[in-house]
Amino acid sequence: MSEPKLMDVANLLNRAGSDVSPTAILAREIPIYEIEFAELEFAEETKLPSSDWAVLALTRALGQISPNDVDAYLGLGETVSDGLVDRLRGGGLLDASGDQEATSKPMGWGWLNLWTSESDAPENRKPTQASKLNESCAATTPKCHLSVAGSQALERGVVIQRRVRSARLLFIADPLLFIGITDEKRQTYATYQRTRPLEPDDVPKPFHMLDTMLALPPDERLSACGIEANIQGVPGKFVEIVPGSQWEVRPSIQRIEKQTVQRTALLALTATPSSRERELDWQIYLGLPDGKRPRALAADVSRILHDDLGSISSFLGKLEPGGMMPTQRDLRDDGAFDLCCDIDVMRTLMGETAEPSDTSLPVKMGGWHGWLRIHAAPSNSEAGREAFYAFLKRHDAKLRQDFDRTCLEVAERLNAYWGLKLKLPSADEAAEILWEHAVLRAALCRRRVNDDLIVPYGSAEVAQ
Amino acid sequence: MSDSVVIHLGEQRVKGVLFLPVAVERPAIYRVHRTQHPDIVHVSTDDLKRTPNIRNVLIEQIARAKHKVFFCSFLFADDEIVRALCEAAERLHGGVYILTALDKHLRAEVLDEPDSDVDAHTAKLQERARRHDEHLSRLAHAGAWLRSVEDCHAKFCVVDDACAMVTSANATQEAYESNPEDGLLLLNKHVAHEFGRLFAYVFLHLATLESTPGTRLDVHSINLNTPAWRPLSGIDQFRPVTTLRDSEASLRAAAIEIIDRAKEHLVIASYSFMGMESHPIGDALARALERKVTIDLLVQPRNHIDAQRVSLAWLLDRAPDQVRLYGHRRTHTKSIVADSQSVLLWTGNLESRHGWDNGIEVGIIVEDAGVASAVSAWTGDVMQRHTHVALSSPSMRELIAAGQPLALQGEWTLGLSPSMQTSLVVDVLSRNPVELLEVNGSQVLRCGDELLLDIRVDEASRRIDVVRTRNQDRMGSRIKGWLAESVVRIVGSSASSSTQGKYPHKQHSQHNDRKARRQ
Repeated sequence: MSEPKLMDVANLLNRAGSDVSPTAILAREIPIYEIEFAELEFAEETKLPSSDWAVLALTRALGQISPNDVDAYLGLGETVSDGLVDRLRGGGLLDASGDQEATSKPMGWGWLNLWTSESDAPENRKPTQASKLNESCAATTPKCHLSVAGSQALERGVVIQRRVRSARLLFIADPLLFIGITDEKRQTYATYQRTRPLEPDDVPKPFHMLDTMLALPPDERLSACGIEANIQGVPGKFVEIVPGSQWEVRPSIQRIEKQTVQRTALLALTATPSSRERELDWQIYLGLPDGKRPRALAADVSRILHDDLGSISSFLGKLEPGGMMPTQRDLRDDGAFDLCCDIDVMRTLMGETAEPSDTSLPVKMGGWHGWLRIHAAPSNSEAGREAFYAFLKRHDAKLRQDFDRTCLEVAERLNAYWGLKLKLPSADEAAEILWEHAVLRAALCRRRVNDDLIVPYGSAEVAQ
Repeated sequence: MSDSVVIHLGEQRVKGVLFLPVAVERPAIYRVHRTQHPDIVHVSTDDLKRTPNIRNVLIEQIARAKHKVFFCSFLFADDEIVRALCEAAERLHGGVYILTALDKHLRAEVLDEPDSDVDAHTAKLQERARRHDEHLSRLAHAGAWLRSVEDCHAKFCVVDDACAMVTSANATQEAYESNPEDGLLLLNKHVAHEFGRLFAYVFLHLATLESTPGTRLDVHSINLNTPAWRPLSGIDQFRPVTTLRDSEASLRAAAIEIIDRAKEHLVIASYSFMGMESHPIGDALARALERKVTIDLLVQPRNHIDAQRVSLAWLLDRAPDQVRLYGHRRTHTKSIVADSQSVLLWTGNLESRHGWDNGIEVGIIVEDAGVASAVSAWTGDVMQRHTHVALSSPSMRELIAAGQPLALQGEWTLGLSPSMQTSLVVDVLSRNPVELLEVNGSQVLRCGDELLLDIRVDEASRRIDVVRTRNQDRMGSRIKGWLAESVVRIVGSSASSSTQGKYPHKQHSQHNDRKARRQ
C-alpha cells in the first residue's frame, strides 16, 4: 500500500467533520476485500395478512383457540383453519398451550383430553360476545394462545419474517471492519470474467473469525467487526450468517488507466489531549474510495493499535526513533508539541503557509505513518534566519508593494510566534540574499525604482 | 463589344527618383573619425570588416555601470548586448531598465511587415523576432525590468547618469556588424542625466506593457498616470532633444535649426526620406536650397516606396545642381551636419509621418566643429562607397540603357477580363512604365503606382491574358524586367466598369508609408 499523504488525511478529517487540530495523527492505507456470502439471514417486516390478523385477534378475544375455534368463529373451513393455526405457530405468533404443559405434564395423560372443547375448559376462555358461525368438526387441539411476538404483530399490523439472502460485503481485514456493500448496479464484469476468490491460505487471518463474529448478538457483533443490524442497501435487519454456509473472499478492485488495482481505505487515528492528565483521547476515521463520505468510527482504538496509547509518554515511546522528537513535557496547552530546532530540522518544519503556524513532524509507528503537531522555534540565530528567509519568500506580492515593511512585519510575526526576540536580517541584507531567487527579482527591482528612476530626476513626475 | 488599341511601351517615365545599382563599385574605405572633444566620441559600425564598434562601446559602458543602466531599443536581437545587460543586472542586483517592443507591440512593428521585397527578408524578420523574444526572456530572468511603449523608436543608452549613447543602431547583430550605423557617446553628466530623465519618464509614465524581472517573460498591461513633462535642457555645446509625443518637439525644432543654420553645405543621412515636400523640415531644406546651400543626401535605395521616390524627386527637382543623392543598400545612419560646424544625430528618419510630431525619438545637437566634422566625414565615407545611383524620372529605355533587365520584348496581345474597362487600362498603360514582377510564382504587371495585373503569358501565341487585378500584396515580389521595347495590342470589353477594374493606388501609398516607418 502507498504511504498516505498528510493532505489526504487532513481532507479526510475535514470531510468527516473533525474540527480540531489533533496533537497526533496516525494513518495507513488498508486494502479492501469483497466477501460474497451465500446465505445471510435477515429479519424483514411484512404486512400482517388479513386472515392471520383475524386469527390473532380471535385468539386475543378468546384467550385461547384451536383450529376448531378458527373454523367455528371465522368460517374458514376445517383445512384452512388447521393450516392457519399451524403456520402461526410455526412463525412464533401463537404458542400452543400444550407445548407449555408438555414440559410439565407427561404426554398421554387421559384427563388432558377433557380440556379439548370450549365447554370443557371454560376457565381458559375469556367472556366474549362473538358468536359462532357454525359448529366445526376441525381439531380442537392444539390449544394456542398469543405469543409476545403475536401480540406485537397484532398491535403493529406487521409480522417479522426471516429471509436468507446472498450478499457481497466489503471489509478491511486489519482491523476487521465492515465498510459497506458492493454496489450491484456498478458491477461492470460478467460472471465468467470475475476474479477468482482467494485461496484459503491467502485469505487474511482476521477473516477466519467471520463465522463466529457474524453469529454474535448484534451488540457484540457491532463491536467485533462493525456490522450493525441495519446494513445500508439491504432490506431487513441482519440476523446472522446461516451456519455452515459458504463465503468467498476477493480483493475489491477497480480499473485505473487500464490497470487493475485493489481499492484501499484510508484509516486515520487522531489524538487530542485528554481531560485526564498526561493522556490522549483517540478517535478513528475511515476514508472510503469512490467519493463516499468518510466517517468517524465508534470502535475502540485499542482494537486497531493493539497497544496502550492512551498515555502520552507511552505513545511517544512507541514511535520509531529518528531525528529530534518532543517529549511529554513539551506538550503545550494548545495541543502542539514545542520543539527547539537547529537549522536542519527548522528547514523541515516551516510548513507552507505564509504566516508562521504549527507544522507537522512526520513519524512512524509500525506500519503506520503519522504526524505530530509541532510548534517549532529556532534553537539559534542561524535557524531563525533560515526561517525568516523562508517565510519572506512566501510574501512576493507584499514584497513588491513594500519590501522593507514586509521584512519588518515578517520578522515581528516570527518572533511573536516563537516567543523570542531574535535579531533577524534587515531589509538591505534580505535584498542581497534573496537576489538568487529569480521569482523575487520583481520585488527586489521595485524596491530600487525610487532610487533609480524618481529621486535622481526630482521632477514633477509622480512616483508609481 | 470589344476594342483593340495598340500602345507602344518604352518612353513612359518612372515617377520620382529611382535608384539603380552602381555598375562598378568603388574601392570601399572605413575610417574612424575622432571628434577631438573630451566629452564626446563618434562611434560607427565598420560594416566592411564587420567590426562592431558601437556594440563594443555599449558593452564597455554597461560593464562599467556601478548603479544602473537604461537601454532603449525596440528590437533586441543581438546576443552580445543582451549578455552584457544580463551580466549587469546580475552584478547590480537589478538596476537594468529596458524599453523595448513587447508582445503585440513587436508584432505590430516587425512581424507584420506587409510588403517586403523578398521572402528571405520576411524570414529574416521572423527569425529576428524569435531571437528578440528569446533575448527578452533571458533579460527578464537575469533581473532586467522590461517595459514597452508602442510608438517608441528611440535607440539610446544611459549608464549611471554619467554617460549616454545616442545611436541609429537598433540592438541587432545586423546593426552592430553589417549596416553603416553611427552614434555619439556622450560623457557629459548633464546630458546623460537629461537622457536618463527622459528614459525614466517614458518608462514610468508612458509604457503600457511590462514584464517584471522573474523566472520567465510575463508580459502584462499596466495603467500609469502621465504627469507633466519638463522639457530637456542643454548645456554648453550639447543640447539633448526629443520628440515626446505631443509633450515635446525639440527634435523637429533642432532639425530645422540645423538646416537653417547651414550657409554652404548640408550632409544628411537618413534611412528614408518621405513626405518632406509638405513638412516643416522640407520647408527648411527648400530654404537652404534657395540660399544656394548644397545638399549631400544618403538614403537607403528603396524603390518600392513610392512616397520616397516622390519626395526625393521633389528635392532634386528644386535644385538639380545643388542636390546629390547617394544610395547605400544597408545604410541606417541618421544625422544632419551643417557646414561641418554643428550636427544633429538622432534616432528617427526624415519621414513626415513619424518621429517629429508624434512617437518617441531622441537626438543630440552638438555645436562643435570637431564633432560635426567627424560625423560629416564618416557619412561622406559611406556616401563614397554608395551602392546605388539615383536617376530622376528615368524612362524605361533609359533604365535599360543603365543596365536594368528587359522583359516581354516585341509585339503582344493583351487580353483583358470582361469585367475590366478597356479605356481605363489603356490610359494607365499609356502613362506609366510597366514592370514585370514575379510574386509568389505568379507573373504580375506593375503599371506605375496605379495598377497591378495578375497575368498569364503564352509565348507561342504572343498573348498576355489578365487573370485579375491585384491589391497591394506584393510580398515576396521579384523584378523580372521592364517592358521597354514592347508593343501591346489591347483587346477586351469597354462596356463594364466594375470595381475590379479600379486601381487602388491610394491605399498603395498609405501601405508603403506604414511599412517604411520603423527602421
